[in-house]
Amino acid sequence: MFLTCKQVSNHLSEEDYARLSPFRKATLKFHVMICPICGKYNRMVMKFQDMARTFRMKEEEALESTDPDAPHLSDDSRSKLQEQLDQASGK
Amino acid sequence: MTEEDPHVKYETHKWVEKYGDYLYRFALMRLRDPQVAEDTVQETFMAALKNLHQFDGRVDVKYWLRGILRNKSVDYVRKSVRRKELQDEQIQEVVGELLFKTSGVPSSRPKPWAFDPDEAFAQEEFWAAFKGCLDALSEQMRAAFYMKMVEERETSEICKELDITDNYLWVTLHRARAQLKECLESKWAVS
Repeated sequence: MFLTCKQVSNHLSEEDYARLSPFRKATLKFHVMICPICGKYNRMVMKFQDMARTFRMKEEEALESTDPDAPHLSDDSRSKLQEQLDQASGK
Repeated sequence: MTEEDPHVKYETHKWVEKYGDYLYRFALMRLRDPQVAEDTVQETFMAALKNLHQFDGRVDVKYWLRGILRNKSVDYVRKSVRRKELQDEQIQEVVGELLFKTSGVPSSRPKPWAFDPDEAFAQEEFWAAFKGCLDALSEQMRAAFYMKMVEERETSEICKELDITDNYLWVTLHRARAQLKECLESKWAVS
């Protein structure tokens, strides 16, 4: 019937509210509203989620970077890889 | 070789030139060690060639290779963690039990941020600090954080791939967030 703080934090970490039953969702919402600890925990998890999503966008940009200073394969490693690919491709 | 030859169709001879650096950066972000990253890229290309007949071309070759590389990175973390952190796993299970009292009430309340995250997000330097803090986490914590928070994958899938229980994943993520927060506050809030 009632949710413990641990059950609430599991749901919040999982972000699985959409899959919960309407009753479970209402219980969760009520708990977060009245419990200062879970309220704060919820805000912290949400902030990390925002941070991780923004980081993902930054990471995608970094992967496609054309900056010559961006990390890249060494020439030696590149030639070895090319050789292996050519061999395996039957060239 | 004919027109239908998958090596010709998917231009395997150009993979190093077209995707080499992209995959290397991806591996470096996940695995940190340049040598391990290079080896994983090599393994990825070899595995892709071996399974080329199974590739149906529905996704871009780049993302198919990236998927293989991601799985290889997870394999590496799982093996590495099994080698180095078996004892740590047992300790963490205990920590997990201690985080919540038997009633399910947390033993401590989260402290507020020592800086304004929304303001920090707008600054490029913050993301360098964030990456530094992420790299400072243990291999397993970083893998769990990437898979759950950055890639937003299902818990059941992550637990299966990392060979851990969902409770253990929860504890790992909890600890990862706490360490990241502490690290960001020391690197960012004081600057």
